[in-house]
Amino acid sequence: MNAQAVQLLDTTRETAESALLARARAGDGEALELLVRRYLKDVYAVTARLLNDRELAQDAAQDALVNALNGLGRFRGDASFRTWLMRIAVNAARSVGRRKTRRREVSLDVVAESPADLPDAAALAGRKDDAARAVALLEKLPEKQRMAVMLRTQQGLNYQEIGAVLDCSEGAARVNYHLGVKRLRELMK
Amino acid sequence: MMKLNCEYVRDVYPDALHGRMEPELAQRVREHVATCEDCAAECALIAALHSHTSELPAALEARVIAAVQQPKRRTFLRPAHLAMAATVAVALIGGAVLFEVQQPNDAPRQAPVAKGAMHVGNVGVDATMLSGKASLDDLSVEQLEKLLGEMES
Repeated sequence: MNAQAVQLLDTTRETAESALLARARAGDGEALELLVRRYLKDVYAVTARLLNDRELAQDAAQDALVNALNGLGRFRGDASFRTWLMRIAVNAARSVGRRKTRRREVSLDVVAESPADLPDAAALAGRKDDAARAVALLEKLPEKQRMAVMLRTQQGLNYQEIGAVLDCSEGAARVNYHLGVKRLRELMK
Repeated sequence: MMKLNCEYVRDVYPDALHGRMEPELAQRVREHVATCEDCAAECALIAALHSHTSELPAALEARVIAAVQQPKRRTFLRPAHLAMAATVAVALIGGAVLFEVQQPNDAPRQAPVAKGAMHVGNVGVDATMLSGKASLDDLSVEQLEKLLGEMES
């Protein structure tokens, strides 16, 4: 496929998505369902990576999609819908994390990075799959590095989009990504 | 054709994996990775992360679809907001009552009533009705309208 064909495909996708969003904005149940089916996996990947807790990640993913799809009027189209949605997913995960913190009097950072929640060496040694091991080791990175690596490698976002999702500059997103990858390589040795 | 350097290749490798790069350039990136040991090690890690797919928990999709299709929540009716509105209403009503109590000698704003009748608020009502011997049915349309107007004001 040449560059022109790729561009044409992108334009066609954007047009189809705009039409779908317009239907969802008007309350079309089928359009809302299609959007959930299309984006839930990405949203859940973000909330799960931030919260490191299956139940809370599900709650946050639901909150994110309900808030986003009930508030489609706020989507101005400055970024792609997917980027906008991921930003909402990050906020929903942080909000759920804060509620959890208040309940358990444990900070989100401690929860995400406490040794008890991290894969220990023995557990990691048992993982033969490099991908699973790399994903498990992501938890050892600071939040912004972890999220930048995840959004770049698993979601395919560019640095500008990562900056929009994590509320930082494009340059900071790039630095966080490369620092994260560098640290992950050291951990993988 | 200019040779790609390692820094550039590692920076854009995820774009090549996700098809967000012109195919010709993606091919050159892959060729570089094939001949550079250090880039190959880093790109293998990136490819491993890219290949990892986490499964959605069962029933989450159905749960979220049901949630987004419910009518929009009216956020201004949250309990905290209702409590605030109730507090303001009580303060206003209490203030109005106090204002009325503190002005007992003000000139009456009552409409003239016939002999043998008395006032309920600003509306003249027969004493028989107040004694329980009459009901609202006994009021004239005009009296009912006046009473209703006062209740609504």
